[in-house]
Amino acid sequence: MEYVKIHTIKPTATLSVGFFAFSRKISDAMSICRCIIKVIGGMYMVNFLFKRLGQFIIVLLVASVIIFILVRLSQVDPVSVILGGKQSSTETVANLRAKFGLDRPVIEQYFTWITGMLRGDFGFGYKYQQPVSELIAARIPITFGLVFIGSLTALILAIPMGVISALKQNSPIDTTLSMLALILGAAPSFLISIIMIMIVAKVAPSFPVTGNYSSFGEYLQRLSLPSLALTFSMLALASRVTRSGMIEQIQAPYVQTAKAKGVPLSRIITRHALKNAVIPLIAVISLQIGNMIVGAVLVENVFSLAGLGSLLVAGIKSSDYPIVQGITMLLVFIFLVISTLADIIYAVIDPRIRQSI
Amino acid sequence: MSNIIAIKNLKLDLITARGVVHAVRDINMNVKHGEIHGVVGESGCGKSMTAKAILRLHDEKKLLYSGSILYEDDKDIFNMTEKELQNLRGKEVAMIFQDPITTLNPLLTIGQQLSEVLTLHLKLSKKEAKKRSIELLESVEIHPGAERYEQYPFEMSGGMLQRVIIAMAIACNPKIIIADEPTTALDVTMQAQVLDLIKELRDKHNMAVMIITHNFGVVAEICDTVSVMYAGKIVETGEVSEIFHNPKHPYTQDLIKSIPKSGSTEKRLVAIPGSPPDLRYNIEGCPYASRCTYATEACEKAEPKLIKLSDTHAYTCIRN
Amino acid sequence: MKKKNKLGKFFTLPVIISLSVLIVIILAVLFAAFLATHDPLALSMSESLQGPSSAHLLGTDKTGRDIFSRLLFGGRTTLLGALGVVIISVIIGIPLGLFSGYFGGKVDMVTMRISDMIVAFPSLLLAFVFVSSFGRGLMNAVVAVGIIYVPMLAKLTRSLVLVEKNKTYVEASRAIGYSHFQIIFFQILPNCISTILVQLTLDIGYAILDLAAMSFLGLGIQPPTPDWGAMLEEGRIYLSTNPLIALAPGITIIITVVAINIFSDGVQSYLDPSHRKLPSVKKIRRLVGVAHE
Repeated sequence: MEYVKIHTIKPTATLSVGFFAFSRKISDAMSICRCIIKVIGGMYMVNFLFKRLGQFIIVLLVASVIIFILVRLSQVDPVSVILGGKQSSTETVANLRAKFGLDRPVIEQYFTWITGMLRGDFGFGYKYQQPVSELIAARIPITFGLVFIGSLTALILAIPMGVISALKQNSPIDTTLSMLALILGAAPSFLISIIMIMIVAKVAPSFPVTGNYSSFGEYLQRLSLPSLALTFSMLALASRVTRSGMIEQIQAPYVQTAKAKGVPLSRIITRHALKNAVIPLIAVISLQIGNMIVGAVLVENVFSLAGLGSLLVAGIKSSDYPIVQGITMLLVFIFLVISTLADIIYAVIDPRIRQSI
Repeated sequence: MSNIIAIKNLKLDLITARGVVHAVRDINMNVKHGEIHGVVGESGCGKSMTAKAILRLHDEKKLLYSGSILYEDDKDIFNMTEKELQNLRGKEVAMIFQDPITTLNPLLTIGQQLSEVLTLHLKLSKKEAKKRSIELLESVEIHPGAERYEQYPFEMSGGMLQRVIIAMAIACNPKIIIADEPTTALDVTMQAQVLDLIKELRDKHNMAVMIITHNFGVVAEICDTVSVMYAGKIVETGEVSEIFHNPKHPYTQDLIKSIPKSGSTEKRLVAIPGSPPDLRYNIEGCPYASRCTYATEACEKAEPKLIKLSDTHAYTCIRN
Repeated sequence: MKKKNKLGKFFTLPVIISLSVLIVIILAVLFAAFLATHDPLALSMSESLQGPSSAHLLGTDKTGRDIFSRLLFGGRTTLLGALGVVIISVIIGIPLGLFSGYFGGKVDMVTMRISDMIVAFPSLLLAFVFVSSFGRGLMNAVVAVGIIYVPMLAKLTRSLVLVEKNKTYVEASRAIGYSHFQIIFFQILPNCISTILVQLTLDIGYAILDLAAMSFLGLGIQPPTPDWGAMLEEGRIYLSTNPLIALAPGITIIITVVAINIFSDGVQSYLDPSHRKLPSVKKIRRLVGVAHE
């Protein structure tokens, strides 16, 4: 019988896993935030934030239930995975069941899982025989970095692309940019990645495309190409939305007022129109983050990055359910954090939204 | 007294998906310093287009200009560079529009939008601009100015917003304000307030005002002179008293007749039958011929002449 | 056949090109059995990793299978799979949206809340988990992705129903005595069909991409069945030596999806007047220049 090794939690793991310790500190943080927020946005903002955070928690819980149920519906018996297909005595099987909590009623299993996650304990991998939290801790910076850098770059690129397209509507520049966006959007991110690797191999063979990183500089280097692939897939929709948003704003009545006031065109664009046009862009990006996370999973595969995605796929293929559950939950969490942030930014920009919801 | 705005032989052609629309066909209009000049006509007669053309607010890829608009009798606005235009707009010639809610940026506070004019044209610092803005708000009866300064457009009522817009317009003491249907989107009490405000401003600062409206009642209320437009042409122009007591053009007469009178026992409103001609086509003869009660065959063939009744009163008709 | 109106016609250049491309692809895939030069599953180690030649139009992969034939048959799998996804989403999603929008109430609220959550989600993740529980393979992948497309379609249908619900003809139908069922399916649905069809066309494109992604990860099609996504995965190691193995399916995917997008754009422009491109301003200026002086 194999002994299970217990590793000490490394500092990096603690940092990453600290996301979930957040829940304990909420009440303290909340009162401080309340004061700050009142200063910034008035009463409306406080209410909005509370409602939004409430939504965040509810969706997180519902998602956890869905994921849990889906995994439990599996037809593969976890114990056989743990045993690696070896035959064992019924006693060993029963012991394993107890150890992994598989003999408890389902609802209890669910709560054990949830409360465990809040503490940073994601359970134990069936196949890998390690605490899941350890396995994922080192991988979080990669996946999170991909999504973050990818969406940020998309935002930074989409705005000028959209503005230029809108100002020079129907000109050759506009048509080219639109065509480019269309093709990029139609190409799956993993395909773009493959093509990128091919091109880089020919043009700059020494550029590190696969392999590990040891410093922050190398981290950025390694992530640059894959996040670019992710950026492209989001850029298609993002630049189109900015473009149509800008076109709509330029024809809005308040732009005419600004022109009649003698405001120069550059200022009208940047100070007046852009602010309004960016709103649908933020909404779209927060919706598309979900796709980007899935894209990250694919891109990690192509670039052989040791991120959450590759571990997820490996977990699926080996039916290692704690890993599948844990990583999916974590990815959903990252998604919800980013989308809630996007909503808050939206509320900061557009005061009207603070009243609704 | 000389003219602050003199429009000479203005023709405006608008390129639309359905063809070229001859929106304004050769009009002449003058506004003197300190005068409140009304431009009346039904929807589509070209009055708004004329007003916007003064500040060249149209998309010049879709609008073709011909003729000239002189500012202070010597500078042709159509020849001005973009920089000169920006100097003109908001500073010497201000414009206010119809619906206050859509014509203000919903994402900026009204204070920010007010200060913008001041920092841009009068080169005030942010602090000075804020102070002056609050003064301006209070001068248009918006109290407390400091609180309202920080509010967003959606937090204020239509009448208040229109007063904010007027405050924005007078911020740099312009020589003329062009008001495009300033009261149409407001209810009657707010209408009265806004009109009183405009009159007061003219009296205090000797500012000229060009009011575009389809409501003859507004004209009667505050205008000194008026131009009546129909189908892109000016059919009658003169002092308000002259026009009301002695309207010569049939269209003017019909318009005045259609104003509902309080205390009247009439059961039906008087309306002018028919509809204005399609401005995509050149019109032969008098544009009003199809709806005019005095129309004859000659009206549809010959171009009506300009008949001057006095220094100020003129109209176009082949009758006399 | 050409419908002309003052503002534009249906068969504009983009529509013609994209439609022809799509027809070519669909026909090629349908008649794969006739057009293919080899059996897509036939191994032939002696011929492995060859470049394009007269015998093998696009070369061979690592086990000597003809790429061109695999491309054609793979198209069948991919396109049929995408069609399956859309059909599943239609069968579940449209009635859901119809009932939700028409009857309203608590059921509507709950359905929409859940739909909102799933739509914004990285929902393909759910498909991954689904496949992990129920096993990999084309059927499961299609079902999983189909289920994920349901909320989006339901939301769309619902919003369309909400608009139609208040129109007079619905009231009139009820007055005549139509049952709810009849009203929903025979009155309201036909009016929503065009918008829904546009979305469905787009969905086929997205389904192609999503299924390819799953096959790429090994969660969808299992070898040796040819499929564009799986071919991409097989071919990527050989990118520097035999790029065609991966590029052939890759470029085909891009062309198909771009064609679908352009086509649906064209249909949308035709149906919605505000999207139509106005005759070029330059053209009119020239006309006016002649008439204006």
